[in-house]
Amino acid sequence: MLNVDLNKLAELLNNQISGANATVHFPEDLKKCDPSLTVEASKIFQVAQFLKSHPETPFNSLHVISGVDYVDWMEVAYVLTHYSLENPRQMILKVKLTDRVNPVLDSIVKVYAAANFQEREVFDMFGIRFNNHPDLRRILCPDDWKGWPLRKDYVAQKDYNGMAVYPDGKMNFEDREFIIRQDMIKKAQEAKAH
Amino acid sequence: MQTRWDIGEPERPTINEETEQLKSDLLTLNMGPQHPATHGVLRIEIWTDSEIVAHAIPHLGYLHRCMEKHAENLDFRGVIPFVDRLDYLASMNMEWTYVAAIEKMLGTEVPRRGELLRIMTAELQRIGSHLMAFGTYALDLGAFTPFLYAFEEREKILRLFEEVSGARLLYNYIWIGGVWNDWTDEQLERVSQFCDTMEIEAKKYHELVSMNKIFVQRTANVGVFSLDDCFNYGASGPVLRGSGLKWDLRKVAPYSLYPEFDFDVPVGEGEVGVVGDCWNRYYVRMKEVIESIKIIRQVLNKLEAGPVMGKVPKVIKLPKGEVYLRHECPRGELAFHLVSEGDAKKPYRLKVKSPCFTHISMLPHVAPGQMIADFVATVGSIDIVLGEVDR
Amino acid sequence: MQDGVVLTTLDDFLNWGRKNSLWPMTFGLACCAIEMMATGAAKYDLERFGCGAFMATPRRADLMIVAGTVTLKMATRVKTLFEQMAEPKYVISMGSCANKGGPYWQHGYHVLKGVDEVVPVDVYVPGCPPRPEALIEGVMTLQKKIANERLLRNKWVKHA
Repeated sequence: MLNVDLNKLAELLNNQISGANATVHFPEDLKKCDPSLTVEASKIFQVAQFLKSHPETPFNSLHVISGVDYVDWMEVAYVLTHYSLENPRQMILKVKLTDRVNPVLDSIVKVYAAANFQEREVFDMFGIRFNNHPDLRRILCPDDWKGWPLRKDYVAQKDYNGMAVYPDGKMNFEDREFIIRQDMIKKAQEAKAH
Repeated sequence: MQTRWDIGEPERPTINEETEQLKSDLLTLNMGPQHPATHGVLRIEIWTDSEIVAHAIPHLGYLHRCMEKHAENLDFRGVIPFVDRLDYLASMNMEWTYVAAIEKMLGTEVPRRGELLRIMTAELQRIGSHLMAFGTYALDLGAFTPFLYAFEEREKILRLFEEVSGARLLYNYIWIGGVWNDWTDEQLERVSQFCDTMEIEAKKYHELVSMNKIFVQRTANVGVFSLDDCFNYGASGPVLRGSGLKWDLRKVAPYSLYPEFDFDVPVGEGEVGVVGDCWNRYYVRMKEVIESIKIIRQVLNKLEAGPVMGKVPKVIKLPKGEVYLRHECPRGELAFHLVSEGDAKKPYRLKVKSPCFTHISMLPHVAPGQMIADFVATVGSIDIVLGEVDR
Repeated sequence: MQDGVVLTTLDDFLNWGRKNSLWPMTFGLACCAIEMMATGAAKYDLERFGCGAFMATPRRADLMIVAGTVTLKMATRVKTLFEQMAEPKYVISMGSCANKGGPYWQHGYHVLKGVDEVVPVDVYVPGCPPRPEALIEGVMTLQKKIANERLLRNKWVKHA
């Protein structure tokens, strides 16, 4: 990404933190997609501490934590930046989670205070719990919502506190199949045949 | 109980000794979700000790419209109207960021005239958004006239956008590959006239509001965000610039044709009050309006005839990979994390990094010790738009 | 009492007073709120219809313009606010999100498909967002509806 030598960073991490297993993923075309650095899920706290205060390549801010649900495993991406006018930096740090039933990660709120709301959102949308988070509860959905909305196998609940989520009289799912359009296409074809 | 009537050192009134001895309870107040300050549906639970805030806990999600779920089920072009409605006061900037992320992965080239028109509309939209921030901030603090002035100027911008794109507020104008409609010479002439009047109006606002004694007393030395706080919480945009750092993505990591333009990055300098307080954040926005006018005038000089839309395949399929693209939007740095899974016609995951979401997380840190009226001024100075926070 | 000239004129008088001084409650939720503010600003003036005083409290308002998407989390609050308003009260549903869920109807698990699930609506104003002129037409339609009300006649006239 911006001004970061990911290979060198991976070597540093592997030397400093045992078990980090830092691997770099470069896409085929660097101009089109972004590279990323994957580390072991259990070492995320030490990696974050190292990256914040390392003298050569510090990253003094966390921008966003985004989760992605690949059906067999889940991935959490941390985007770290460094605010410095001479040497701005940015990188994507990824973590893989294989347990879908009860995924757990360490929270990095003590390292970057921005992680507070971001981790709550990942918990709300994917169900990933964070250890040592000061206030882990849902942030966007209501507190008594059931299910993890952004997972690929999510089915919305039928009603919430007496209100129907998808009321029968208002959903026109059938019309979306473009029935009308097909009729018109048929008519045009018949007219052409004559 | 100490009050701050003159502009001197910032001081944080602590909880009274008398209250400590009385061992009185904290009173819980609910600011929102329906409140007259027009920020939308934000609920902040304030625990107060007489007039001083002890804790402030923001509750979000009252406008959670499931935009990220919609983005996973619609094709790439169909997501653009949803991206509009994220930060509805700065729609052009939102669209441009999303479209830029797709164009990076696709490798399309945008023709020069299309790119210049995008810059011009983005800067006009920045002026519109800052005018709105100015008007509603003054309305929060009790002044009604700046609101009417700001809306009058905004109507001129909206009229121009309506003629070009067809809608007043949510445009769907910037498409993948360029923009879909061209501007006529007569409309460009009106843009130039608008720039001239806006400069005069900005001076008027400066005398009316920025240097107004009551406004200064309400906003100077209030809600100070230190630079360390900003880094720790990931602040960006006018909030970060108001605290002293000259960080503007258009200069630090320039995108599109911005390297060709000559403009300054305004920064909070503490002319009134302390660097990092509400007044400096507000003043950075007012100075940015002038800088945007400079950029628009340079664009008008550089425009030449040509196509506005590049070549884009009919069915868009992105390669496998991900991209994280940031742009400088009126409220901060907006970024899209777009993950695509091989040859699919829809995004696999679209995550929006919203600047207001990170700024709201700074409120519990800065609230303790402020009076309730100061807290209202701090919330207003962050310039929150709930559509972006809750998505 | 009979349905005669006196009661009809009194009714007309009361209706005239009520329709020309509808005080709206500021209930802007999302993008439509900006258009509502623009309608209240100087160019499209809503004050000339009597709707000048935007009350923040429901206790003093008679019109609730629901402008914006109503989510499930917010729906209980909308109902509470509606119940806190005093009779006679009216609701204008502004924008397609408040009418039937808007562009978020298909995959919006957290969006209430129309505010008429929780609150009785008098006038629907379509648009995304509706132009200020459209909102003014909505207010004028509501005024026509109020002009046809039978407040005193319903109370005092017994039909056979």
